Amino acid sequence: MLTLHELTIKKTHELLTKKEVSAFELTKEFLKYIQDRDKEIGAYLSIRHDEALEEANAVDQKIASGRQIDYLAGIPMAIKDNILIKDWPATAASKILKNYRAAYDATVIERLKKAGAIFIGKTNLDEFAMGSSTENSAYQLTKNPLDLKRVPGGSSGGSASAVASHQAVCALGSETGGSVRQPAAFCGLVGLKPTYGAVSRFGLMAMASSLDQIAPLAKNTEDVALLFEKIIGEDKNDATSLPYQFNFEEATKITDLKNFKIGVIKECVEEGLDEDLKNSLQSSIKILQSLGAKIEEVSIPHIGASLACYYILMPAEVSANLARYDGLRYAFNELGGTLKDLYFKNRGQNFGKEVRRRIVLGTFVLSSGYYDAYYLKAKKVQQLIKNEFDAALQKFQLLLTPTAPTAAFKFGEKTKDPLSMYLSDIFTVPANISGLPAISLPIWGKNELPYGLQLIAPALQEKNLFAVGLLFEKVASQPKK
Amino acid sequence: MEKHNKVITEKTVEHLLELSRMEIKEKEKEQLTAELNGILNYVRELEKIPTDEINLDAVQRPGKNLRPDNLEEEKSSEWEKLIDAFSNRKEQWLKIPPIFDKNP
Repeated sequence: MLTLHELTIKKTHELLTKKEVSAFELTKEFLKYIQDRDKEIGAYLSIRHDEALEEANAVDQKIASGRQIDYLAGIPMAIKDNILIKDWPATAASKILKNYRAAYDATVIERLKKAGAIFIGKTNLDEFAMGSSTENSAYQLTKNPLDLKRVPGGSSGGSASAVASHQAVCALGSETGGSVRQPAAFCGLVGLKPTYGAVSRFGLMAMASSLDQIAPLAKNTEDVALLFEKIIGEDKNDATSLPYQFNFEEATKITDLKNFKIGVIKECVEEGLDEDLKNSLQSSIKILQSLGAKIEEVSIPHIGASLACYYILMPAEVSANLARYDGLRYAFNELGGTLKDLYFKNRGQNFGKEVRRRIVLGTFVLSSGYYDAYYLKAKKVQQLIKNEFDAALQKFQLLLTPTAPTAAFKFGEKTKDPLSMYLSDIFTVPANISGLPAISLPIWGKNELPYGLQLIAPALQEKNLFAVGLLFEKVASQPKK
Repeated sequence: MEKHNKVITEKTVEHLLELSRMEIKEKEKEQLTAELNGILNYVRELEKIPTDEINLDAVQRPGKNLRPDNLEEEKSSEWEKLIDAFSNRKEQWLKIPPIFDKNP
């Protein structure tokens, strides 16, 4: 009998190559487990039962023929439902895509398929990745496996919950303002927001194109790094994708943090954090020091303006990107009338409240007479914040903040007031608007629920994030069972 | 939600809904207006930040180097699927409802 909760990428790879279990048996075991477990959790929107077993069979044939398999071959993973898998539904948790099936594979899917990964199912999210609790899904609530009364975070809450409840070994989510790091923190996982341009977004439903990145989530740093290694690099279908290679071995070569100067961003730890999180951050900083890192305070004077900046830039792009959902494309048209009626009714009725709110907000900040005061001003402040990060990263290899200001909150706690929901991304958004890579590592205080420790690196320096993660995990306290 | 200065009125919101092609229920408009005012009041903190020094034209952007626009082999299966994903088709054409009302 397999113990699914112990499986990481390397362990699973070992089991498969030593023929202790076949990919088929393993996938079947996961599917069986999901059938019961997900009734309680609600992580998945669709399960690729037969397809996953077929994919597993192909891996087994390769093993049987004596050929070498990739370390991701036969690894059951969960994919956020805004990433396309050919011939499979992709709803983005929106009613407007209820009848849609993808015509092609996203580039990340193509790359993972080539490696032999098993896509076990598509996971729940806030509609079109807009939200911080997965409560904005048009289909279902996803529960935090660590406390079923609480949210898993968002928008990649389904992916985080699937991994945290052992219904997948690892997962892909997407990030625009913290949608992988924040759920990783809430569910006790590791989540990475890659450098803008590191991963191709071809086949990811666009939300705010100048910020969007596909992002890996897993139980530990090693798995996140292994996934990252496979999905990065230039793609002709995404003009922002960069030629980028990274080998996991690079990160393992760093054996202590003697050459690391880490800056604690003082604006993020000064006020408003609860004691338990503060203490937990302090003990994490001590661990980093014990590993050799030099820790100092650093100021990013305008970091506090990041969220305001984000809530102008992101909706502006949302209003443009979501114009394509007109009720005709992507297999939807259940309402009659003229073309104009159809647009108004379909978009009005099939977009949820948060999506509508952002479209209207974006339309406003881009409109004539307001463009300079809102959009242009936000672009300038964004550049100012970027410059401040660049200056800080001249002096420090990494910058440190909490991932989120609190641990996972309860269902309904923030749904009435959009601003209070937005504030849960206050520490994650800066890395997105600066295009920098950032990782969230799980940390614990005295309370039952985990927090996130966030580290931010210069562009294309994911290697250092992984190195710190690998060393930190070995020493950091484990969750209470 | 707290009381805020009104940056936009319900009338503006109606106009924005028209521009963004969304019809919502009458009673939802008031709430939407209040929420938008809350957000706009929050983002207006940016006004206070001096940005005269920032020259956005001097900033290099990712994606500047576009690939050459070469003709590529057509993937007919993908093409078919894309048309199929449209709500209504007639042969190789996308079929849409009338643009104008017959009885205005």
